[in-house]
Formats: sequence, structure tokens, C-alpha cells
Amino acid sequence: MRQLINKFTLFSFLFGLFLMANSCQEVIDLEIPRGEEQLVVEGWITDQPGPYTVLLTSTIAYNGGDKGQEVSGATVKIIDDLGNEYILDESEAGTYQSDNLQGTIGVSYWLYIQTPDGVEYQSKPEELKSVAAIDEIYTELDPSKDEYRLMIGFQDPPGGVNYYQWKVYQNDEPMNGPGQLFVTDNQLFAGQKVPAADFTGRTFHPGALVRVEQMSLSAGAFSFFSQLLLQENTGNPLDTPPAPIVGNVYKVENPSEYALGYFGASAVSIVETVAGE
Amino acid sequence: KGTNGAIIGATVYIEELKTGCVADENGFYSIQMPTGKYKLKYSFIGMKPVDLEIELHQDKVQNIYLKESDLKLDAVVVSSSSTEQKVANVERLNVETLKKLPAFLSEVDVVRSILTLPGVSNSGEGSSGFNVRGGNIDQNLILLDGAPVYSTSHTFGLFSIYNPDLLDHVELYKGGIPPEYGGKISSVLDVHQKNEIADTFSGTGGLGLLSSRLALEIPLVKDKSSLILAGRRSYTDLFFKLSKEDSIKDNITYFYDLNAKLNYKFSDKDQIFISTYFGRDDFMIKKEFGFNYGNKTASFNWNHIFSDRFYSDLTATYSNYDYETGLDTGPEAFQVTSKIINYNLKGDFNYFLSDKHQIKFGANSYFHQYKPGTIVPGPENNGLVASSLDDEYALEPAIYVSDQYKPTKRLSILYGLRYSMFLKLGPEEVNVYEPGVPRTPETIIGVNKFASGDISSMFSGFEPRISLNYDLSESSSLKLSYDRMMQYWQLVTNTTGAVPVDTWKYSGANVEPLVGDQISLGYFRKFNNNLEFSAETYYKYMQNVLDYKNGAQLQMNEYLDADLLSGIGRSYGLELMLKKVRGKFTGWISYTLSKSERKVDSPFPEERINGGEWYNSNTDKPHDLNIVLMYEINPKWSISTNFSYATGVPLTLPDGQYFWEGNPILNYSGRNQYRLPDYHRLDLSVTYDPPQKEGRRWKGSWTFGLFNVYNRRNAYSIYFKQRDGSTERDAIKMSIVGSIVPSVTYNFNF
Repeated sequence: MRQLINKFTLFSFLFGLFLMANSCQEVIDLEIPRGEEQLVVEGWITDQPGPYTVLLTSTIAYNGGDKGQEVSGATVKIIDDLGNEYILDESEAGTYQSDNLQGTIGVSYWLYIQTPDGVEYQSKPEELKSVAAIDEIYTELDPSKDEYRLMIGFQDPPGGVNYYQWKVYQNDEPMNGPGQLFVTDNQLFAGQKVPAADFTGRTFHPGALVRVEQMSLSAGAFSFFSQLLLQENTGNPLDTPPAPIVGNVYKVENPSEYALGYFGASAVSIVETVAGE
Repeated sequence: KGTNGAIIGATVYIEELKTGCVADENGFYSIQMPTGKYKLKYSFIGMKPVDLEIELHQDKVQNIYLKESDLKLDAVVVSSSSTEQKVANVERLNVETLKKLPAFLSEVDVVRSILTLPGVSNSGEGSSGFNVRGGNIDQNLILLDGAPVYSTSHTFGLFSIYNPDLLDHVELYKGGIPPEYGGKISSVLDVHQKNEIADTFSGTGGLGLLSSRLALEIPLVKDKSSLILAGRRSYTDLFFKLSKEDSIKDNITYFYDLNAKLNYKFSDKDQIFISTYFGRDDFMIKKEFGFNYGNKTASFNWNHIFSDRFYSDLTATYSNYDYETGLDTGPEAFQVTSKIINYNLKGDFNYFLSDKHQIKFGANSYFHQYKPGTIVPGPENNGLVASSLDDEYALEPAIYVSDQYKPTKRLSILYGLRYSMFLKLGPEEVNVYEPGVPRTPETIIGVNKFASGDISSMFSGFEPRISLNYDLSESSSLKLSYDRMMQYWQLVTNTTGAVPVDTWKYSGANVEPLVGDQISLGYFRKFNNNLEFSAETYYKYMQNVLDYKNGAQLQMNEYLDADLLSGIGRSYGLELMLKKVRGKFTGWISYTLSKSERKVDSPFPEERINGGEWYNSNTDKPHDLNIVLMYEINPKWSISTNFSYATGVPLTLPDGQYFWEGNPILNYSGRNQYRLPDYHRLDLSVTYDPPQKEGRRWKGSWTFGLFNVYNRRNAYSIYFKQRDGSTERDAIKMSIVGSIVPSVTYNFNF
């Protein structure tokens, strides 16, 4: 069960594979006019100690480079529903960091941004929701690769819809490269004890230190990641046609106009093991 | 009546009165005239005319059997006589016409044939179904001997499901849809298979490069009953085995279909038929990933004549569409199945009130049953829990009445009313969403539970229809029509082309029924009995068109309601057609200029598409040109060609890029803002039809075909792929048919 969210995309993937195997493909020259420049926000608050980072960039042209254009000189604040405001300082161009802030479960947080040209943005409040603790962890040899798969189990809390994200690290190196976003809802195991399973599909060298972070997500964040995932998987004509990815940061002046990206809040359960032990 | 089968459009002419009439779709006709002696002339293209003298003292039933003409005919292009063509809003193609069209892959193909007509299009190779006047593929009522068909395609639309050996005629309504049809808002494609009582054993068939087929007509009781059995199978996978590439070699793809049709004539007043269809497509990729789908239909029809003025048709049908897909082996093995079924009971009554009024009335009711999806993990797959979406049930009854009224010689009006209902039935658990906020699984505030048989929601509506035809002169006429159509189940698709695993959605607590209103105005003109010109404009407005939220997962989605959006649609256009109907050289040119748009607006930005503005629908193709030419070189050889040109369908492209956690993300700022390159294709086919050898029952002919003659790689889609080790991406054009496709079929009958 790799990437639960893709359980059915797997079908269209294979079906598309069939079409592709029996069709012809060629690289073409495509001139696409550049669209309007948009603000991109990337930031997260957790129940783990900070500092938390917010990155502000703007969009570039299609095939226009390998990083976004940094937005420097903005005013950035994290605000909570208890009335506290935390100002983030720009540590390097476009990177804003918090100081003396740690997220608390049950509190809602949002982001306020004023760009250098005076445009105000705000994110929708995100409640920092608790997350089920990983209560089972071990590694299992994948004989085809001589590497180890990570098996984790947990108890999904009863009542309602829960969303999960996993981040994995090998010897403290993050393994969340392109196409390696692991999120799911609890539709298939609502309120159940989830037996140990391979949720991330990554394999680890024998003896490597394996760390996994199980994070709670809001419905909005899950939807954001689902859209990201769908788009990463575009490359197959039977996939959902790509669409603008709607996040939660909007213009204060016109709340129906959105910036790209997301400001989210998660509780994290961290567990470590050594591959092959 | 014809050779034991009805001849639609056969004419009856009374010399003394210098008037006549045309037989209807069941071959019935009714004329009122004073008592006296009359000379009647019965005729139909391709048949020997019959002259008859009658003395009329009282009402009289006169059945006439026309025999096929021995004369070699000039090519007959469209079966219906021009009179018929003018009167109705229907395009009627009989099998003779279809056979004359350029053979697509050397086979007569209903769907490909209607695609050459104005106002009918698809999204190119690899897409199933067809679009009429900007409507989606699920907005066509497709009937096979009266039974609704869910999917018309085999092998991603390369073939259609109709076996050419069984075809009798095909009717297509794009507007001016008579009240007896309902349930879909864009068109009606009514496919009738042969219904003649065979008096001798005979067979037809074909051996081809891509597929072969055989149909047998078996007389059971002389002049009373006969049976047709037919089968067809493709073997495209045999060619894969020849491929050097492993990725192709291990793939299996084929389809087959089986038909049986039994008819029985109890008397001159009672006739029944039973028709069944069973078709399946089967795919297997790399001996692991399997996928199969197909339709099953059955219909029973009883035609009863009460009197010379009154007859009835009772029909019972069953339709089933299902698919199965999954990975067969390994730790990721799973199997997904889905099935949709309907049963229909229908009674139609025809009453010839006078020579000015022909009344039709009737009622029908569907019972729908849908199993949206069940997912079962394979034995080694311990990560996946078996799950199933709840079955859905509904009842869809309707009644209608219509009158074909001919107040003057020049004017004829078909008007009527249909009243349809839709009752969603339990057992059902309906999610109640918090009002005033976007629907998401988190805004569910309650669940309404309905027991088996309870009505969970109900819709109904009147569907008025009217079409007028006015003869401006002997050779020209005007037609005007207005229809309202209701549709209670829609296909939800979010892929570029419709695929066989798309999800159906019934109207219910959170989904309103689709309503379509259309007006159309047409002009028809005939020149010296050989050229026919028609021009038609239309405007169609649709309410409650289902769309999906950006990024929605549609299959196996427990909260599908929360991912759907409802919008409006409009399409309008001009359709032109010039047809040459007689001579060695026949054919037509059809051109459609059209626009099809959708609009999804909401107070919430996440429930808007393209900011709530009008945008091009997936089916929008502003220009669509088809040229079909047929030339009979001599009685043995004929050649036909088809050229299609159309604007590329709308496409969503990235107009920017940004980064998330260092990974490049393309920014698609609006849906359907760009287009695929234009589509064009030329097909050729040559038929060699040698005369039958004397004293032999066997007759054979050859059809040689070239599909995509100049080897164009028409785009099916464009997608992007990251270059290895770079953030740059390549744009890749994918074409389903990447080369010229030759085909040969040896057709025979005995």
C-alpha cells in the first residue's frame, strides 16, 4: 500500500501505460506565454520546537530556471487564536524564521504577510491537530533490492476523518524528493488499529538510521498535497487534467484571489529505528 | 411492408388523388380517402415498385411486399427519400449507405459513420463515444434494438460495438427529438438490427486483418420465425507478438461480441422479437495488469396491430455494463469491480386519428441499479483493506403523448409533451452538508438513513417538444424545433478523454438533474433531384452540468458529492451539408462552425473553475469539416474516401513554474485555455465486388482500406516530463495512431 491516495491512480497509471506502450510519443517544441507573476508561500508550524521557516518566492516562466525568485523585505507574522503575534525575521533573502515559538495542539495558527509593494496576504486559520503515535515500527528486507522497507503501525483515533503525512529520513537525510510525498486519509482504516505496513515505499541501506515523522494534516492541507501529488503524476493522458493548486493564503483585499502555496500546522510523532535490526 | 421487414420511408401514391404518404419507422402507413376505385403505387428505392388497384368500401388493411430490384442501382446514398428527410429532424442511415462509406479499418462502423455528419464529433483517436452539438458523451441516448447501451466503443474507440452484419438502419436525432425518447439531453442514436423473417438459411461474414465475423440467418418456421446468430472477434494482440519491444510483446488486447436475435410472427397482427448482445474488451499488460469491460443487453419486443389505425409496441429491456481491473499478482495485487444495470418496461401506442393527425402515446419506467465500486486486495497484499461503495437504486418513470399534425399540405407539426420522474431509492445513507460553506468530508453535519424501498429524493419535470416543418416550395423547406430534455444520470470524468472506468452519478440529495433546452432552425433545399443542401443553426443551454473540483479523485470516492461541482453550459453553431445523392459519383461535404462552453461559479473560490467565467468545454471544436466521396468506377470496383479536419480540442497548459520543498511545480492558471494542434486525417478504401458466379450461392467481395493515409500523428494529449537530472521539462505529444493503418477484409455471403 504505497501512497494510499494513489490507490486508484495506480489503475489509470497502468492503463495509461498500456496506451503509451501502444502509441507514439515525440518531444515537441511548445511556446507557452508566461502567465502573471504570483506570490508563493511555503511554511509550516508543528508541536515540535522551532524555529519554523516561511519561504516567500514568486513564480517564474515555464522552464525558466531551478528556483523561484525570492521575495525579500516582506513583513511576516504568525498569529494564533489566543491573540498572540510572532514576528518572523528574514534570515536570508526570501527566508523568514520564527523565534521563541512552539506550536500547541488545539490552537489555530495563521500567517500574515505584507509584501514590499504593500500587498497584504493572510492564510486561513489552521488548527494544530493531534496525531496518532506510531506504536509499531520495524524494517523488513526487500530481497529484490537488498534494502529494508519501513513498516509502521498505529491506532487511528475513532470518529471523523483524519489525514496523515509521513516524512522519512535516512541517517538524518530527508528522503522526500520529487514524487515522494506520502499522504493519505483514513477512509480505508477509519477508527481501526492499522497493522504495520509499508506506507512510504522507500527502502533503506542495511544499518542506516531510519527516522519517520508521522504528521497530522488538516483537510485543507491534505487537499493541497493531493493536488500536488496529482500534478507530479501528470505524465499520463488519463491522469486528472492539471489545475491550479489552491492553497490557503489569500489576498486580504480580495479574499477570492489566492497566492500559491500553503501555511499549515501539524502535530508530529517521531520514531527511529535501524534498518535490519 | 417490406420483405417481411418494415420498409421505412416506402411511399404509397394514389394516382386518382395525386397524393400519398410515407411509411413510418415500423413500416406502417394510413391514408384516408373516399370510397371508390383507386390505383395505388408502392415504391422504394432499390425495390421493384408495386401497382395495385383497390376498391374501397370500408376500412382496409393493405400489406404490400416489395421485392428487391434486379436492376443495378445508381449508388443509393441516404435511404430516406427526400420527403422524409425534410419532415423529420432525423438523420437516417441504412446499412446500404453505411456499406458505401469508406470502410474504417475495412469494417462498416456506425459511430465512425455518424462522425462524418455535421454536429457530431469526438476528441480524436483513443476517445470512446461521440459528442453531439457540444454535449458530453453521456448525453446521448444510445439504443440497440431498444435497449440502452452504456459504452459504444471497443479498443478505445477504434471500433464500435455494432456488428455490421446485423445492422438494418440507424437513426440519429440531434434536435427536434420526439417525445417518445427521453433521459438524455443531447441526442438519440437508435440502432435497429435486422428484423426480417428469413425464408432460407444464409450467412454473411468477413475475414479481416484486424478482426473476423460471421452471422447466420436460420429460418425456424416458414414465414413465421427465424433466428440470427452472429459473432465477431478482433485479434490485434497477434500483432503485438510480432513486436521486437518487450513492452508491447507481452500485452494482450482483443474484443469480441455475440448477438442473437429471434423473431416470431404469430399472425399478421402479432409479431415479437428477442434480441441479445454480449460484448467484452480484454486487456492484459505485461501479464500482470488486467482490465476488461463490456455491455450486455437483452430486449423483448411485441408489436400488435389492434386495427388498421391502431397498433402498439411493448418492449422490455435489460442493460448491463461492468468492468474489472486490477493487478493479478504480487504484494500490491488488487481487484476493482463496478457494475451498472437498468431494466426498462415500455409501451408505445400509435393511433392514426385521421390523415391529418397521427397520435402517439406511451409510458415507460427504468429501474436502475449501480454498484459504483468494490476493491479487494490480493492474497499477499496486507496493506489494503477490502472496501466497497454502497449500491445505489433508482426508478425513472415517464409518460408522453405526441401528435404528428399536418394542417395543410405544406405544414407539418410534431408536438408533444413528456413528463419524467426520478426516484432515488433506499437503502441509502445521504450525507448532509453544512449549508453556506464548501462541501468537504469535514462539513458533513449529519447522515440521513433511508431503508430499502424508501424514496430518498425525487425529481420530476415536463419536457415539451415541438418541431415544425414548412415546405417553401417543391424543393425547399424550413424547419424549426424546440426541445426540453431532462437527464437524471451523468458520467463524471476528469481525464482528458473519457475512459471505460468513468463513474456514473445519479441525481440525488446533492446532485440536481441535468436540464437541456435547445432551439434549432434549419433550411433544406434540393437541386435537380441530385444535390441536397441543408443549413441548420442551434442554441443549446444546459443547467446542472456536473463538473469536478480541481484535483478531485472520482473513482472509489466515498465522498464523491463533496468533490463535484454543478455548472451551466451553452453551445451554439451552424451546420452545413451539401450532398450528392445520385450518379456514379456521390458523397457529401459537411461543415460545422460551433462553440461549446461551461461556467462553474460559486461564492467560494475553491468551487469555481477559471474564476467563475465562461470557458471552453472539453468538446469545443470551432471548425469541423468532413468530406466523404464515393466513386463507382464500374460495377465491380468502387473507391471511397474520407477527409476530416477539425480544430484541436481544448487543453490546459502551464504558464509558469514554482517550487515546493525544492521540487518544481508547474502552475496551470486556467482550465482549457490552450488547444491541441488541429486534427486532420484522410482515409481511402477500395471495394472489389465481382458478380456472383452462376449457380453458386457463395458471393464474395474484397475491401482494402488505408486509415490515416498520409501518416499524420494527430495529438491525443500533451504532457510534460522532467528531464533526468534537470529541472527543465520536455513537452511530449502523444498520438494513439502513429502511422498509416492498412486493412483488408474479405466479405462474403451465402
